[in-house]
Amino acid sequence: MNCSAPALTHPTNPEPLSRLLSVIMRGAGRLVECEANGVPVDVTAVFTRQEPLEPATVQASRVGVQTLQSVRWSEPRIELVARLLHSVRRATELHGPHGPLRVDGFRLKHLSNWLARDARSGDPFPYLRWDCGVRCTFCYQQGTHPLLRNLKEEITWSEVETRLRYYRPERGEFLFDQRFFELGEGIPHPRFAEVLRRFREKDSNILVVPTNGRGLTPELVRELARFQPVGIRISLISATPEVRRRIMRDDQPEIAIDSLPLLRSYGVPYAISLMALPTVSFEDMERTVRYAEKHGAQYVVVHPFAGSQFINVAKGRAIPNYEREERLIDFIRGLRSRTAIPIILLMDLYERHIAGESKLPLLVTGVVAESPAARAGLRAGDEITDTEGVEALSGNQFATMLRAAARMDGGRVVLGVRRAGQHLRVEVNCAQAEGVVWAPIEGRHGFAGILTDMPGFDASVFRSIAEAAAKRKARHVLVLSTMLMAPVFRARLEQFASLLPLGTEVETEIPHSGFWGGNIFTGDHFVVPDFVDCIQNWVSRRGTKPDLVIVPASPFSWAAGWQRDLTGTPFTEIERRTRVAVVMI
Amino acid sequence: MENHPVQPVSDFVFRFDLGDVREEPVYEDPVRELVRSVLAALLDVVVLTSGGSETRVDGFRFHNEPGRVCGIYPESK
Repeated sequence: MNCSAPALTHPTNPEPLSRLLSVIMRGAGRLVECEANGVPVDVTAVFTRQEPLEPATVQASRVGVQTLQSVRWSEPRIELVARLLHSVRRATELHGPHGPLRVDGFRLKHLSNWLARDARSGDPFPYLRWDCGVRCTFCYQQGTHPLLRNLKEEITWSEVETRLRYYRPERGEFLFDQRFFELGEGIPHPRFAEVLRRFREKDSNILVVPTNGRGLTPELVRELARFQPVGIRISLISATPEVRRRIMRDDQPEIAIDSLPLLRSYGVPYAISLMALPTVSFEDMERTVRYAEKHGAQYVVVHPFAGSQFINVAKGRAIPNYEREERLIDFIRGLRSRTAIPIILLMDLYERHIAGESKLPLLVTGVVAESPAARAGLRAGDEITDTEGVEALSGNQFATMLRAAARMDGGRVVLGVRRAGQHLRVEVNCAQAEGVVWAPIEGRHGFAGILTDMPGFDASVFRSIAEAAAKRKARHVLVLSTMLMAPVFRARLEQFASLLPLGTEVETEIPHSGFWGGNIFTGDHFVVPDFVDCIQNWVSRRGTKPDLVIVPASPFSWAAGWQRDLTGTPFTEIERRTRVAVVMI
Repeated sequence: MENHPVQPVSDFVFRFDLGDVREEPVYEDPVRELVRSVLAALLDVVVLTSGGSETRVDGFRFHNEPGRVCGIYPESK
């Protein structure tokens, strides 16, 4: 017998408490097996404790165990089990066949209970982390919060094998993810090639491998080519060895730089990314883009440098700097006119906002060379008006419609296109995309070689705000946003104000990021305390509370749908701490 | 020919430490604290609904204590 079926007794209040304990222990027992001193134990009885368990008796973390913090983000039900067992243990005394037990941990029973079901795109084995081999000056791990340190030792081969075994692409299932902040990437793993082989035995879909390029040796590129279709996303940063050495502290920058022609020669499609760091000149960025174009990269992604405490070290916090971002936008727009390779600047809503492009048609950001879209004659700057007569409202919708249409009628899709004031009908043969790999990138889809911009603030966002405000009879609504999104939101607010209940006042506020050290994806760098601080500061300044706070879904949407920030804290914590109604949109 | 038994494939054992749970007790009464902590843990993972509508919950009372509502997240927390 183990914790699944304890005989529960309670001398003073046998009925209700006994039932509660029984429910908890039996429920937990179906999922986990209790441990004492690292050994599985049978819990056969539970007695109420006269004195609470002293915290000092709680054993410190043990070797070979997973940390709860590593699963809070992706599988908080494991944490739930831990908290339930912890609660029972604090209130009771657990007994086994031979007397009292000091239960200090648990192990998961049947791993099939812990499968996630998710349309995961991109890296199929995010758990495969090894020392990345470089020490980027902008890495978000700089000053990593103690909460996120030492989350996991390097992954064992037994765990890798188990995770591969439970990877069921035909059902979209995989074993729960764990979040590691200190370990690097999969390519340097000593058995990466074997993982590739095992992956390919199960999954014939595109394998997208993100890498800093440090491990893309000729041997590895040859290996990757054997497992096509593969798409590589290289964080190249610079094609100038000295610059890459300085910015990424890469002692062998030539490996990554030389990998571009190598990948091309093996027919492995790839894209590169750059970081618009203050310490990298525009001239160097242009050289890198031209180098990527020359060697057949599919596209270039430029990350704005945001969300870092180190942007302005003197003040210890990120300062919004619109001037810097606008100079970057000017530069990228100029560069696009001088090169043919698609360049995606990951702040396209702001880019279009300052360019005065107030309406939001679905815009083609770029067309991958030799793709079905290129062959059909689509061009960067084209506005997609419809797919087979159905209006395309956002990039996500568009990609979904394209995929669906591609599966029917021989894969030919007719797109409505507006170009220089003219309406055109363009037929794209998506069936040709079958043999070509277009690696997806965050928030965008390169299906058939068409890269579109981010979904914007359309009417549905304002309808959701209106609905939330009406439901709570809110007059004062505070919308929390980011430096680059807030101006766009304000402009759209003017456009869609009529959707809101009459008399609703909407204000925007930008929290400041106080958590991460280096650079992290702009929309996801806020954590719950950032939002709490922002609301509390607003309340303190105004002397009144807003009726409703809207927080952007982005920081919470990474967490496999659990609505938690990247530290694993649930967004409901914002409402608890501020005592203000909070809705995530 | 010698027959070798097929080794069963064993899964990696995912083990977790209860010492990782960082939760300060709010109530001295262990039973009250048990109920509070169980509810707090559940509410971090589920949203309770009533008649199909989401219901925000921040307290509870025992059936035999009609006058005493216990906060799940008292101010001091």
